[in-house]
Amino acid sequence: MSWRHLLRVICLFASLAGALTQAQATAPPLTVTTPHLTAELVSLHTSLHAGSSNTLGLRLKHQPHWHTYWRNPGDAGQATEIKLSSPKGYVISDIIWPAPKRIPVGPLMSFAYENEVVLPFTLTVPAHASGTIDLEAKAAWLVCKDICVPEEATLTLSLPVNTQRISGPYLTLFNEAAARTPKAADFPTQVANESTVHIRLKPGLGDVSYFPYSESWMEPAAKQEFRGDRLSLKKIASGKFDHADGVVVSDAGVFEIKPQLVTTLGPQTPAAEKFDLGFVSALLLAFLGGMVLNLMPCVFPVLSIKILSLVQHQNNLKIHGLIYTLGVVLSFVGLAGLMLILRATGEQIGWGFQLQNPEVVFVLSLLFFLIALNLFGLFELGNFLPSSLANAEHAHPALDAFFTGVLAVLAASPCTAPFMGAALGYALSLSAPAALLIFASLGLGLAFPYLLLCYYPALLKRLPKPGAWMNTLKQALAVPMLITVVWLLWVIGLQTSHEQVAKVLLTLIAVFATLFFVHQRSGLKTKILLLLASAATMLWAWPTASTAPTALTSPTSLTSPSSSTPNSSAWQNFDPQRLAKEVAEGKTVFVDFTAAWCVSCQVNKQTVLNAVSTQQLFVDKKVLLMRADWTRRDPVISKAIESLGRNGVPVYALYRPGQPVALLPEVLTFGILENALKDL
Amino acid sequence: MLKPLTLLLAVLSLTAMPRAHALSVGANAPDFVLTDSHGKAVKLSDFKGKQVVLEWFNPNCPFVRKHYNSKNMQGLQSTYTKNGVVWLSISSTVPGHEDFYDGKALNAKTSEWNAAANHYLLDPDGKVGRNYEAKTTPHLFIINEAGQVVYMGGIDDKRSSNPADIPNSKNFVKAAFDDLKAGRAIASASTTPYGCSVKYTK
Repeated sequence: MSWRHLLRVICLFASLAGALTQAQATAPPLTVTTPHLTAELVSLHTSLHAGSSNTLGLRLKHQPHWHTYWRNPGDAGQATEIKLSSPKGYVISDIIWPAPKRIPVGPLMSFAYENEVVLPFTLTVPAHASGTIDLEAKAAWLVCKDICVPEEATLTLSLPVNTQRISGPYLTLFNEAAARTPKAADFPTQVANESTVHIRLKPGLGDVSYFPYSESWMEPAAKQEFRGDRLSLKKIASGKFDHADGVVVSDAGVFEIKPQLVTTLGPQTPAAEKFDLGFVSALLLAFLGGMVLNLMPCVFPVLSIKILSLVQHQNNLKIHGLIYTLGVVLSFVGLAGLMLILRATGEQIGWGFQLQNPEVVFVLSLLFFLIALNLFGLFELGNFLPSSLANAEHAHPALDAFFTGVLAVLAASPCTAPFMGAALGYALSLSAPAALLIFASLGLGLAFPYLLLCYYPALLKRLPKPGAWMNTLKQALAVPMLITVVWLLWVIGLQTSHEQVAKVLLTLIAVFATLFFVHQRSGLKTKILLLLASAATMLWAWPTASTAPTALTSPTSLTSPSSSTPNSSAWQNFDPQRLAKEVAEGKTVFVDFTAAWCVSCQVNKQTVLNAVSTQQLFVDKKVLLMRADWTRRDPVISKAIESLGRNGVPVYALYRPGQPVALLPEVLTFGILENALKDL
Repeated sequence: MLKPLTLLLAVLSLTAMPRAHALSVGANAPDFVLTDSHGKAVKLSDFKGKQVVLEWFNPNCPFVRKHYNSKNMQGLQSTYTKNGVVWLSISSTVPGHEDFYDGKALNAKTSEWNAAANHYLLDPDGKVGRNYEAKTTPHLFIINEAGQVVYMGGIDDKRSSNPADIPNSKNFVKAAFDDLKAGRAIASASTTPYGCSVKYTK
């Protein structure tokens, strides 16, 4: 429908008479107000420049829920038109359409604008123009809420011609329009017209909405799928596919695409530019990341136990090591598989998702508490199990090795070690089997140092001979375990409530009392009673939906207490819309993607981000600080993290106007920040 | 430890059946029984052997008014009903919506306009509209003697609410009937409809 894309020229008067009046005598801007909106012809600057292009626009301020339409209105509706005529020498552009929003109307979908918007266009003024120019434009639009009303208005605007460049009152509105105006995509695109239309974009765009210029083939209301680099669009049953030129609105920007038509798209392009990682190097990175995990604060207590158990199981070391490795790898693959299944159902989750459930944290805190008591020597497993089973346990230290591996994974998964972030983000852009291989490689990395010790026990021989010191070491290692319990309780407190923390503490006391008394009396009835009592306490303390109202996907209530020590007011809550707006207005924004259960995040926060010198640096460089707290599940933050090509926390991202987002390393230092901000 | 329900949903959604195919040209027109503005039940399949036009209709919509105030729609209706075509205008507007017309109000409006459809049908729950994937008012369908959809789409190619555009537009309904009469394949059998959205139940 090319006629709609042409601006029909009717009545713009560049009045020569204006030149005779005083240049300052600009008429007050004339607004036209209908029951549904206010319309006005506006200019970016307070005057026109002769001999160059000037930005003007149609400002539409809608009443709540009323909307007007984009160039392709969607299922129904009609595009807004501005009809201008220009005298000789004046050149007027088409409307430079900012991207619209998807506005559902029952089962149908509109591509339209709500609230306040400016539809910009340019006016090139001839070099000889001077004095005051009186502009007149006829605009026509269809405005709809439940009902539709066609409206039109004649709008006027008088502007002096001079050499000043002073921004008018609608600078912000023009800037918002500019931020939503598509830029030519800087990546190649292709389209295949199959039973579904597939468009190849690039990975890492995050949340994508596509608006075709053509009205003839895409079902406007259908869900748009974006996976990897691939956008899938439902066709109108009897539609005719012509071309897929259009606009892509993504977390990485607003692009205009003109995809090349091909018969079928090849395999997914796994990654682009800076997120580019070959599969082999991703495997290698995951392996290295896994090794580094051994040194992370969240794994260290488990590592301590492992060393102990190595000293104890000095026979069958190789088998022991292999079974431990199997435990680690299977747990990683299992958790990753679960995550992939949940993601396939549309859950917005990422790696570390298991610790976003207070139930999991509760069980982990009990587990770590039991390990601590065991290390203190309060109980041995054999006291509780029927003797045949206890013997089996001794006869099969393999079981112990396997579960040490599982435990290591559970504790390690929230800590995204350096190197790991990129590999995991990449993993999710791959097919499921390839992604699972990456997670398996991560597990191998985590298990590798231990496996090495098992195969080269010569290294172990450097340890002192078994003796009384071992008992002392064991008891000493109980302390970091108890500290881990405190950390987990803190996380539960942030996820749920103080009451819940009290309940968990009571459960721990019940467990302690049970173990203590069982150790003293061996009557079977007493043992059973005590065990039942502690099991009952545990059930009572189980975090339920009512104690954790905000723990699962409740986006409205996610702005609650942040993950730590009181945030200095310098940190704003993460808000993608605000972020886009601030960057569009020329601000630099630093976003700290963090979570209470992520220990490396907390270390960076305490040692670097909250340091006085760092805060001063941010103030000096006028950097806006945002904190995205992922302690609870949050689809908005998950999407933002994914759009950066990552899948876990910490992520430190620097959003700068007109430049790609810069990602800083997971281990932060003041020097790194200073270097990243040096150009400001 | 994850919610068992979430997992169950995950498994169920993997095995979910794809939805039925959308209506397209050449398909059998879904049958329906609707009550007309006089309270009479009208069944589509009773008209087998005749050509039928379905016109989605909302008297308050500016795009519908364009074609009724200009007598354009009435002209089509009387031309083709005289030739034995059955013309059914359907309102899928949900009761309670400010554009809703009950039977009595429809009769008043259509007699004011001298509208010439055989029946004005009420589809208050929008089921028939959704079956046909009617999106706009107006949105037109032509069904042949064998009960197959042979045309679906807009009334013409000038996507405006301005009656002044009608003389310069190409009327797709007329073009389709011309092609049918001449025994040709319909050149534009599917076009993009334009107008107000059909006011379905939310």
